[in-house]
Amino acid sequence: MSALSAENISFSYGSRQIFDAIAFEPIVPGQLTALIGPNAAGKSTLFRLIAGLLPLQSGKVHLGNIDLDSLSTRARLKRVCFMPQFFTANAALTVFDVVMMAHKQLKGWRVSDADMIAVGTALHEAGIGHLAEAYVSELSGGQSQLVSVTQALIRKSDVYLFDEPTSALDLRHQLDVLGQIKSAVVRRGAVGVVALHDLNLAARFADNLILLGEGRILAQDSPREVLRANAIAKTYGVAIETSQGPREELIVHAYAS
Amino acid sequence: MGSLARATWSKVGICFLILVLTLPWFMNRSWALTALRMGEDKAAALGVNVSILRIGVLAGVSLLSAVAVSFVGAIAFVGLVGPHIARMIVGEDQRGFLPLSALCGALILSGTSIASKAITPGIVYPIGMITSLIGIPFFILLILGQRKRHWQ
Repeated sequence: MSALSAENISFSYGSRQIFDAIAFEPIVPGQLTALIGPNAAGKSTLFRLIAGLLPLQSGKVHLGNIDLDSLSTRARLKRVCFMPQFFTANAALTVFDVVMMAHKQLKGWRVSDADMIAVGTALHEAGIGHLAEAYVSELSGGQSQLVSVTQALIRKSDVYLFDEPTSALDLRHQLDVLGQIKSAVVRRGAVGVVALHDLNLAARFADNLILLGEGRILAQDSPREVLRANAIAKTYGVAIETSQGPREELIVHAYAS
Repeated sequence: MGSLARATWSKVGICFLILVLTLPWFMNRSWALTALRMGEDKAAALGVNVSILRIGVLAGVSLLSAVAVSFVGAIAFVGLVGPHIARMIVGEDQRGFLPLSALCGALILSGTSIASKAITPGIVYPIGMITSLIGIPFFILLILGQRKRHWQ
């Protein structure tokens, strides 16, 4: 499996420059990387650029030796699985239907027994088997987020990009979902990047952190290094202290000044 | 108001031909159309080219309705009631929803056509009158249902 790298990428929304020739070190497969940074730092935009949903104004994104811009949109999105932050659907579709839709990847009219089993298993593994027959319009915010993660993980891709997969979840489901994402990434040897606001979750689950702020990559290293750097306190505008938790995990404390 | 009185077999043939030409395209895009019901963002992330799909659907739908309307005139409410019945039966997975909507529309048209000829022997009422008689109460129920949902 191959690493994801970007060099010299620029993007602007009209006259508002978001990225000016930024680059990140290759993101190695088989590990979970967390993308952190304040609101409007450009996390979603970076994901969209990698997925090809927004056009790069300069620079290249490579997966191994492949220039992702050389692939068709369809082929690119097969390799790069991107989970958007929001989904609201007021449609008469069940959870099973929408996960099947993600599983089929827009191909083939017929649904085989193997497809049915795959979707059933995925729902069961995600802990939402009981929601299979529920309509997506009736789900709570947290439940629809669980469905979104399931839709992403049922696809076999080389790169997984999750835009805040835990923002609407309770404590147990936050740990569950990140655990699922991490084990899937490790098991499949895929590149996994998760945008997170909760630095404690990032420190706990991610092998690497990328700190994004003011349209630049400010740090890319292990959680211990990034969370202790001056850049993080400066970017967020808070004082940050770290300590050791009762189970030897890294704990992040933020103070207003 | 629309009426089936002007229909001939050759016009039916042309309608059928257009349907045979457009339906496979729609069926081929059924997963993409289902994906679009989850929102543009989600559909795009699955690899749907949303703008091309939109234009294609618009063109196909325009062609189908233009051909039908140019032969028999505007027959109201069939396009509203048919898909709603289909949605209640199979949900919005377009693989089932699309063909069943067409079937429901055809059934409604056939049923009302029979009614338009059977009510007064010897007189054929314009079919648009009958479909409106069914469609308007349905439409009002739909609006009331919608408002109820917002109140809750």
